[in-house]
This record gives sequence, C-alpha cells and structure tokens, in this order.
Amino acid sequence: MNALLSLLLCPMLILVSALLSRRTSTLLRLSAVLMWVQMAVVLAVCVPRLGTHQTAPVVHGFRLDNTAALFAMLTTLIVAAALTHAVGFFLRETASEHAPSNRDLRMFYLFAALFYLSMVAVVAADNLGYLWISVEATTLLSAPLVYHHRSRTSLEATWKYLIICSVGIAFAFLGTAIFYAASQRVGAGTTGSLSLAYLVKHARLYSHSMLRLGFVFTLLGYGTKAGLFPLHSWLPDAHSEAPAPASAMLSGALLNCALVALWRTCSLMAAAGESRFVQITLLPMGAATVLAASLFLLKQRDLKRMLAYSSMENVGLIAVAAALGTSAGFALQAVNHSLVKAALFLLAGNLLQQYGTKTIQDIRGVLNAQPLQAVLLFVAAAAVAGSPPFGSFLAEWQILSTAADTRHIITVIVLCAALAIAFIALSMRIAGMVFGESPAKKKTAVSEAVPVFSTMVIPGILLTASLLLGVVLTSAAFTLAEGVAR
Amino acid sequence: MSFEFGPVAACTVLLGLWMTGLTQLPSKLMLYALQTVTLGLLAIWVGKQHGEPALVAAGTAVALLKGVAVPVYLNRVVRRLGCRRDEGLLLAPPLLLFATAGALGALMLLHPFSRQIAPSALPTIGMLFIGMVLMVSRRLAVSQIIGFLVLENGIFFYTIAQPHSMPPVVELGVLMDILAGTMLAGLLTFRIRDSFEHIDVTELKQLRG
Repeated sequence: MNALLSLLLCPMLILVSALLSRRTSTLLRLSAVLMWVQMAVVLAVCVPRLGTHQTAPVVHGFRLDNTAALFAMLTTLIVAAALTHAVGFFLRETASEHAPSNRDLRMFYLFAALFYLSMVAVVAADNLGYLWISVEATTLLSAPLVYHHRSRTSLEATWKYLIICSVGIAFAFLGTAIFYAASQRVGAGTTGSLSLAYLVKHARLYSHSMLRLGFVFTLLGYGTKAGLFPLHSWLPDAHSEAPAPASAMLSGALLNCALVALWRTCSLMAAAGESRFVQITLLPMGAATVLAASLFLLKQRDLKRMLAYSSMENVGLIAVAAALGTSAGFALQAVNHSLVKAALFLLAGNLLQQYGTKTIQDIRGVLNAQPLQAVLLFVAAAAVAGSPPFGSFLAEWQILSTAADTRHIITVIVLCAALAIAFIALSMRIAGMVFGESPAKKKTAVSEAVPVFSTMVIPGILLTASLLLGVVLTSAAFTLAEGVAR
Repeated sequence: MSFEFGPVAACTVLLGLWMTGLTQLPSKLMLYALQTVTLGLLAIWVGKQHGEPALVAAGTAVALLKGVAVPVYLNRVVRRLGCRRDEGLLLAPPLLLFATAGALGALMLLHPFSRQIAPSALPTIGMLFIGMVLMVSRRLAVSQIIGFLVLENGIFFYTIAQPHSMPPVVELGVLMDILAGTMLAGLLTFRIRDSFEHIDVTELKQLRG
C-alpha cells in the first residue's frame, strides 16, 4: 500500500497544480521538477524489485515484478524527459502566433499526469481485466494530448485514434473474457480467475482451442494499440499531429505499454504450451509490420510521419521478439527504441519550431545553422536505424540471431531486407536535412532568438543513455533484460 | 442453460439487425437503449438465478448508465447538432438490413467456433458483426459511436453467458471506460462540426500516406 501511495503522489500533485495554476510558466516548471522527483521515487520502489519474479502484489491485481519494474522506470524516464523538454517547447509556443491558451496547456498537463498513471497501471497490472481497463484508459487520456493544437488535422487524427483504438481494444476485451471463460471450465467448483499469476500457473489445464481463440482476439486488440500491420492506420496520424512532447510520450512510452500487454498474453500462451501458435500468428504479423513500415518510410515527405513509421518498424521488431520469446531482445529493443525515438521526436519539435514546417524538403542546412542539433539528429538517426555502437544494434542482433537459431529463415530474410531499406530511407532523409543546401529565401525562417542549447539537453541525455547501453553497460543490460520473465 | 438465453439473445440480435436498416438517428438510439436495457435485465436475472450479487449490480449499472444515460446524452448531441438523418454509405440502409440478415443466416448455418465457446457464441458473434456493419456503413460520427456501443454489447453478452461473471471491479472499470469514451467522442463530434462544418467522418481524409 505504501509503494502505491508513493507512486501516486507526484502525478497527483501535477494534476492539482494543473487544475489550480494560473501562471503557465509556473505549471510547466513545477511539473518538470515533480516528474524528476517521481523518477527518484520510482527508482527507489523499482530497483529492489528488479530480478525478482514472484513478488507480493502492490495492491490487489497490481504487481511490480521484474517486467513491470523495468517498464515503469522506462515510462517514468520518458515522461519526465518529455515534460522537461516541454517547458521550453511550450514557452516558445506561447511566444509564437499559434499560442495555446492557458486553459489548453492546463488541460494538457492534467491529461498528461493521468495518462502517465494509466501507463504505469498497464505495466504493473497482474489482472487481465485491469490490464484491459488501463490500456483503454491510456487511449482515452492521450486523445486530448493529440488534439492539443486544435487544428483540423489534429482533430482528424484524434478522431481516428479514438475510434480505431477503442474498437480494436474492444476485441481484446472479448479475448480477455474468453481467457476467463477457459479458466472456468476445468472442473466443478472452479470459479476461474483473471489473475495472470493464477492463469499462468494453471494454463496447462485449459482448453487449448479456447486459449487460441482468446489469443487471436487479444492480439487483434493490443496489436491495434501497438500499431501492428495492418491495424496501424491511426499511428502515423496521431504521432505526427500531437505536439512534440506528446509524440515523444506516445512513441516512447505508450507503444511499450501495448507491447507489454501483448508480452503478458504471450507468456500465458507459452505457459500453456502454445508457443508454436504464438509464433505462427504473431511472428508473420511482426515481420509484415517491419516490412510495411520500411516501405512506407521510403515515400515519407513529412518529418514526424517518417519518425512515426520508424516507430512502427521498431514495434514490428519488438513483436517478433515477443513471438520468439526472447526476453533480452524484447526488453533491450523496447528500451533503446524508447530512448532514441523520444529524443528524435523532441528534436523534430525543435526543427518544427525553427523552420515552421514538418516537410523534409523545406528543412535544409541544419549543419550550418546549428551544428550541435545536426550532430544530435545524425547520431539519433544512426541509433534508430540500429547502427553498431548503440544499444539498438545489440537488441536487433539478439532478435535476428534468435530467429536464425529457431530456424525462422524467412523471417530473418524479411527482417534483414526491411532493416536495410529502413536504414537507407532514414539516412537519406536525415542527411538531406543536415547537409542539404539551405535555400536563401528560407534563411529568415530560422528563428535566431531561440536559446538553442537548452533545446538539446534532453535529447542529448537520452541519446547518451542509449549509447551507454550499447557500449559500456552491455552485460548489465542483458542480465536485466533477460530477467523479463515469460 | 442455453434455453433460457435463447429468446433474449435472439431479441437483442434482432434489435441490432433492425438498427442496420434505419436512417433516423433518434430511432436508432431508441433501439440501442432497448437492446442495452434488455441485456442489463438479463444480467440481473442471471445474477439472481446463480446467486451472484456482483452480476446483479453490474446489470443494474449497465441498464441505467449504458442503457439510459448514454442514449439520452447521444440524443442531446444529435439534437444540438441538428443532424438527425444518416443516409448511409455505399448501400441504402434497407438493403443493408437484408445483406446483414443474409450474412447472419450464413453465420448460423456455418456456425464457426461452435464447440469452443458455445452456447453463447452465436449471439456474441452476431452482435459483433452487426456493430462492425453499423460502423462501416454510416457517414456520421454519431453513427460510429452507436456501432461501437452495439459491438461492446455483444461482448457484455458473452461475459454474462459464462458460468461465472466477471469480477465486479472489472465490470465497473470497463463500464467507466466506455462511458468516458462515449463522452469524449460526443465532445469531439461538436469539434468536428465546428471545424469542418459537417460531421461526415468519411470526409476526414487530409492525413494520408
């Protein structure tokens, strides 16, 4: 009970200050500070729980096991980074002509705090019912963040996001109900349970055809939320229309939540001895997602849409890892993608504010204008494409080698081809932005007044973290990630 | 147990089927309310029979909130938008009714999933199917919300047809999510009307590729 209260305290304070605060700048700064306090609290609560599998529930239906602890820390870090970057971001936005009103910003922070709590609830849920409720809550609470700009396009993106994800998730609830029904049919006197720990323990007794049916519906539901092909149509819209800090949270934290939900159901199936079924359903879907996303990447003209498709590509990879059951690949890829993609979305927000456009063609000559930003952009692009010194290279290597070891040769070929295409597409676009000749007429668009350095602190820290995971902390990261139990 | 469910389940599916043929939003909402209240009462009755107070409570909450409050709210949305008719997309609604009925008939004959999740499989799948049809066949934002709610009803039917109902906390949490989602979607509908001067969601296609 104590752990739960301490986790709730800081987000609640942000919520209260969003409700009460009259001064925008105070709210922005206070929230950033509170999120870092929250980070400390989460570390204090979660670090002792790393490496443990069967821990007592924090409160009925919620458990901070190794997986939950790892992803709770990651989620908190991403949200804290995004809200810290948001201070400068929103202050510059209020100075521009499309200034959001004080009320809009307070709404943003109100929903951001609740959204954060719902994400922590997703990763910590030990009850399939609570898991579903939390995932649906993340959709409802992040929809207002996507709609922050109040423009026509953001409205369209919000509507699609809300409807497609709600319908998708409804199928996951049917899947949950089928799992529950399966747990009731093992003999007289069993009332069944939705608790994951209980289900995993007794999974071998359950009707396999019901478990399979339940898994298909859950995959459909949480797959929609994760953006698996062909259920991804909402993802590029929502991620590109949201303001940069919200995009970073959606891509860096929310996608992980859907994937953790998938991982939990995969672990249930594995416990029932149905790993083969998971592989024939989730594996092709994940590989198709990677391939489709890399093909979409080729024709992107919009910077944020391009980043969104790159997220989709990574989601596909993580789904492949989940299907193969490689916990190291799953967790490492998720952590590295979150760190790098959050950094990239925040950098894209900087560029959008400086150049006034998201069109890649119009963002040129970043290297001349701001060398540091150009370096960060280039490094981030290399990291997200899985280049060697970064953590994502190790994670992708782990996933590919597991696929090869288990004789999924077609998957390996498809993934390699798709990763190569994605690498080419991303590096061409980013190189164009960094090195391209800046057209003379656009020069004035680059706002000189921006205190350039402060916008790069957070992306720089996130990228350094990913670099450290790839270079120095490799073995520690592997041990931690392998502890993510199925 | 299936014989007690049979007639009620058939009624709710038929109500859903009827909805696919309607163009007037208020009458569609009326039918939706009827369907949901029927399901709520069914839940209360089953809860009494099995001695499960949790199910009785869940049924009451569904009948009152999802069956009365939601239709009243959506009815107000429709009235304030001043948009009562939804002509339908591709197929005129009366024709669509026959097409859906045909598809449901085929479903009954083929009877997929029968052994796995019987006896409640058919009405559940029927209602899911009708909900999807309602969502893809209409133009207006409100119609999509109604389609989603019918789909959700199908799942609720599945949970009450099981020997043991869902834990009450879960049932209530799901209900809260659905209510919040409907509220949010209703509010967004006004925004769509204000920014686009229509609520035809098939015309929302600026974001591409």
